[in-house]
Amino acid sequence: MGNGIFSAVSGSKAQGEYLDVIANNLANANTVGYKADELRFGEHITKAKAETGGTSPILDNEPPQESANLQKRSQIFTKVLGTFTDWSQGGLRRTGNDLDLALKGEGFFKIQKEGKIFYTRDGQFKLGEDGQLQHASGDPVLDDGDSPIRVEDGRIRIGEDGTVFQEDREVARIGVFTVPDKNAMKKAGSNLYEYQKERTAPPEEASETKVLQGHLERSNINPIREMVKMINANRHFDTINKAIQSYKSMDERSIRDVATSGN
Amino acid sequence: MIGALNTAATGMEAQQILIDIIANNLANVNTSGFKKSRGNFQDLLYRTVRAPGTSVSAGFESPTGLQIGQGTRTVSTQKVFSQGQYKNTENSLDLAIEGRGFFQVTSPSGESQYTRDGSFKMDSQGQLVTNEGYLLDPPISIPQDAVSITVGEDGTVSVQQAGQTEAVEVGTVQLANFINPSGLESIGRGFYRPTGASGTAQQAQPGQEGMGTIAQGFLETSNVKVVEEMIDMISGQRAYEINSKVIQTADQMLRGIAQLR
Repeated sequence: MGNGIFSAVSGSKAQGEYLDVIANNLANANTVGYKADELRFGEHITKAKAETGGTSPILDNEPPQESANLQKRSQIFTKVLGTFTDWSQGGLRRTGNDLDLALKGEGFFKIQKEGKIFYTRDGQFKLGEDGQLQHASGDPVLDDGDSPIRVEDGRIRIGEDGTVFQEDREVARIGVFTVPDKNAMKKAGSNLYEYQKERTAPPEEASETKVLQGHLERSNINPIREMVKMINANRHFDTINKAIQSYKSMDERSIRDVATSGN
Repeated sequence: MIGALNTAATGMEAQQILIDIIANNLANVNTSGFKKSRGNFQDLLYRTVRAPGTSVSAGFESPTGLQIGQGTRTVSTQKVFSQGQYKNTENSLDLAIEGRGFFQVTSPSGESQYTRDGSFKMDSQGQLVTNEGYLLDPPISIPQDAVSITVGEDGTVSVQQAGQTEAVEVGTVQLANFINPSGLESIGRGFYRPTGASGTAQQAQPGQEGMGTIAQGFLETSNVKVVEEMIDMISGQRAYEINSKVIQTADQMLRGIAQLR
């Protein structure tokens, strides 16, 4: 029985995971500040068995002669390398609500949750009973000096640099930070990200980014792209299934034919 | 793919809640003092196969992780207290609040409730009541022989009595406000109840301490904007459809597996 069937199975597993990622993107089509995920595939080539005996084409600078042997012995699997996030700006939507903030440009708001620091691009903030500015989940939003922000009431004006004004008095400045290595951002659910390199590559203040009051950033998923990806995943999956079926019928035939030739 | 099935289901559920909220907003497009709601959505926890930035071998770390999301959820519905339009009714007991604040009324059980709907009526004793008969707090009584009623911007209520030349002041409409009005609980019929998140009510005279002013003869219309709701409805409906396509695709792929044997 050929080993190719295992390569095919690795491919169909990868397409299955791809669909999971696409499904999550589409489920979050209306989630504020959501950033689309993409799955990256690669090949995993197993080492050829030692018994090839072929000459190495690289050393001899000659066309490979016995390399067919090598090809036969090594096997290629599809490997899911990882997910990465598309950080492109989502569309801005005007809500007119004073506590809705959107970020235009790179960066994140900083949130403190259960003693840990999280980052988010979801600016649907609210006030706690003591006037604390909070993320929708009820956790405090931090200012540029990492402390919670308190205001007297909801009549606040927020400048493009994140400065919070209460009746023309400056009361705080909302912290907006960028991170040097966005790949180290781990999605933690609830529109929050956890930064994995808080110490080795610390976040910096984002001076270029604008804070827009009365706006929200829409999910940056592109439904057309996601639908095309979904159709692709579906078709690849079908094709691989056909391959698996071919392997199956080949095996069946060889078992049957070998049995008849024995008579 | 089983994951995709559940993920898409959470997406459909969220869009359905969104449509429910929009339906309620649109149904109240002509309710005076109505404030629209909106749904807040968040992504669910991620299945982290490999966290980004973790070491794969000594000295090397994987540049990206492998995190697969599980869908979306509705985290809260939020009242949006933006100002509605004003409608001139020329009815002397129709009061609109221009700016922040709520009318405080007392329900039959004695509880203080709050509303933006200022279409007041008079009961048999001449007291100002809401459409439901809830007393305005502090109560204001209009004498039986009143010919005209005037409510000033600052809430002072004065009446002109038959046979008198001077207007008599009979009381002041007070407004109440909260540090976080979005935290109020909506209990229907245009009334709100304070919660831990809203803070306690602070009463003040209209025009003072950040309260709005009173406009007599006007009603505040609903702050629902039909076009905005329609746009949200279309996007919600399409997102619902797309999520149902994911379910179909996952189903097809699963069927493919089932047919392998």
